[in-house]
Amino acid sequence: MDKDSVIDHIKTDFLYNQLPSGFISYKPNGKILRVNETFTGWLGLPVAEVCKLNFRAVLTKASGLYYSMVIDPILNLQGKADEIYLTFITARGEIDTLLNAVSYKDDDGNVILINATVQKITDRKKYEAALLQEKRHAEEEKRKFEFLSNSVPNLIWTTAADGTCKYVNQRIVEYYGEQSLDFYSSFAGVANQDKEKSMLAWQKCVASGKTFERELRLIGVSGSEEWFLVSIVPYFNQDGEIESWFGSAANIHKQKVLQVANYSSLSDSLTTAQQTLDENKRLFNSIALNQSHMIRKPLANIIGLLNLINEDELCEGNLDLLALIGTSVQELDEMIKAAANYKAPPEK
Amino acid sequence: MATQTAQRNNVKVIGTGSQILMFGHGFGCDQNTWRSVIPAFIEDYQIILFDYVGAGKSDLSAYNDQRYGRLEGYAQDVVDICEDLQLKDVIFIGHSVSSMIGLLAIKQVPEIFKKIVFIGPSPRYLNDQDYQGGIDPKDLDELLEIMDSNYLGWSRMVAPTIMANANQPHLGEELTASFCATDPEIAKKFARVTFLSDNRDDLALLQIPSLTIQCEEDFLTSQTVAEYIQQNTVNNELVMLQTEGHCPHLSDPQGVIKAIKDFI
Repeated sequence: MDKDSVIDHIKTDFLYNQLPSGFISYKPNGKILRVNETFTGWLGLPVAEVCKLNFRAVLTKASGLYYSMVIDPILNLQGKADEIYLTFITARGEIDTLLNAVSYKDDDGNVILINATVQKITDRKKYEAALLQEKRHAEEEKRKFEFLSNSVPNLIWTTAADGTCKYVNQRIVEYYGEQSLDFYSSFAGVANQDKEKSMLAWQKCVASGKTFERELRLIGVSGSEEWFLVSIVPYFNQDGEIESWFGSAANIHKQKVLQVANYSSLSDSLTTAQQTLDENKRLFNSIALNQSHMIRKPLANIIGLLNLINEDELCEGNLDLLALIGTSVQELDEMIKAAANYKAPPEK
Repeated sequence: MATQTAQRNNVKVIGTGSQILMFGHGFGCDQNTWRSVIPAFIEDYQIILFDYVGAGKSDLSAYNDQRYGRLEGYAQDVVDICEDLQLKDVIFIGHSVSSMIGLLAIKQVPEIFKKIVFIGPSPRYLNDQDYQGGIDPKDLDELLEIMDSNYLGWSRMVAPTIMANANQPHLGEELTASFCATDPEIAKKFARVTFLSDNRDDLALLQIPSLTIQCEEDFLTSQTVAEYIQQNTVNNELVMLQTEGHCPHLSDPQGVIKAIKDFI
């Protein structure tokens, strides 16, 4: 390219028509006033033909709808619109573009002209379409998660890594009514007697990354305390960092009430048994005392009678027998005394 | 102190007249879309402006899929506002999808409304056997894809910006807010609800006088659709404007103002 060619290539007309960017001017009603060759080249039509068309007529139906509903009012009220994705109809199909437009008004405030530049982004659009597809996939997965979390009877929620509540399922909304997410982050729905301890425990879990698991009393719209088994487990991302926490709470109120009732019943049974034992022991002691007295009375008589026998009148053989009877009577008396004075060993 | 409904729908009451005009914005915009026509009515009418949930300065947290998964949910917003302000003899002016939202609100509580104005209405956007709504299901899928592709750019364009309003100070702060502010995610759902709606049977239930304002060239709807409405609605007038586009209140405000004033 020589020096003269360089000058030719920076002249306004050349730049307007040949720069790799579309230029188009049109009235608010869409009548095209001027268009550059780059743009008509993309459309696959001569400049003169394009100038006979309406701006909306070279847009696809969907792009025309979007332009009419969203961009038209914005151009009227704000005077410009930037980076609008629109699809134009061409002789060979369609092209994806980004449009930047500025509107100009007369003294009465009516729009009289729109100047726009058009950038072809077909390749970039494919990449964006792939990103959009991923975004939709992620949204679909999110919807599936929400569907699943709403189909189970448990209260389900998620939090950010720092413990801030991000999502609650429908069961929670039904249990607590409409509440802000801050309500859940601050443990506002936990009964007062469990709130402080459980919050401290949860803060420790957030700091350490350990699972939180506790039985807590929650108070919902009914105003009554109910027992729940609350479990919050960390979700680690591919880098091994906690990305979020997944919480669930199962209502264990009936089991808990039954358990408490069973404990109470067992305690009552044990108390009754102890009372029975004490009563039996007292009765036994009373009987033992009475019986010893009844048995010792004839024994005392025997001992007295033995003392009255004149030992001098007895032969040697009878004296031996009298001594044996006396010894046996003493032994029997000792046994009765021991039985009457028996005391149970102390309880362990 | 603003009520919950007033906050939810960013309700504004302006004007000095006794006759009530309630303006419902269309898809992709907010109450600021009416800025070119409001000055013509502000001296003689009491004007109710509002944003549907998801648009403008409405309470985005009030959006829920169940309520706003049908146009009836948006109609309930209109009814809530009327009941909140204890309005009577309301003339409802709806642009685009707001036309059918207004129709559904009247169906719900007919005693509140006196007249209705449809601007660029369509009782059904999708083609259906003998009915030409103008849009095929394939177009709707592509439109939703375009909305997805434009998510970032759209979000940036409709983000709130502060704009001076020295020329029309009587309109107050509503014009210092953003124009066409809308949440793109909600707008996408709104688009689906709008384009899948079918209110053809509801037209016959309308008993109060109605006016249809239709542009000659409208990419979203058409004269054929406007004529369908006239043929199937009792006491419906049709005014064709010699202008193009779907937003005549922006492109031809004087034409819209005249048509409305002639009707009311």
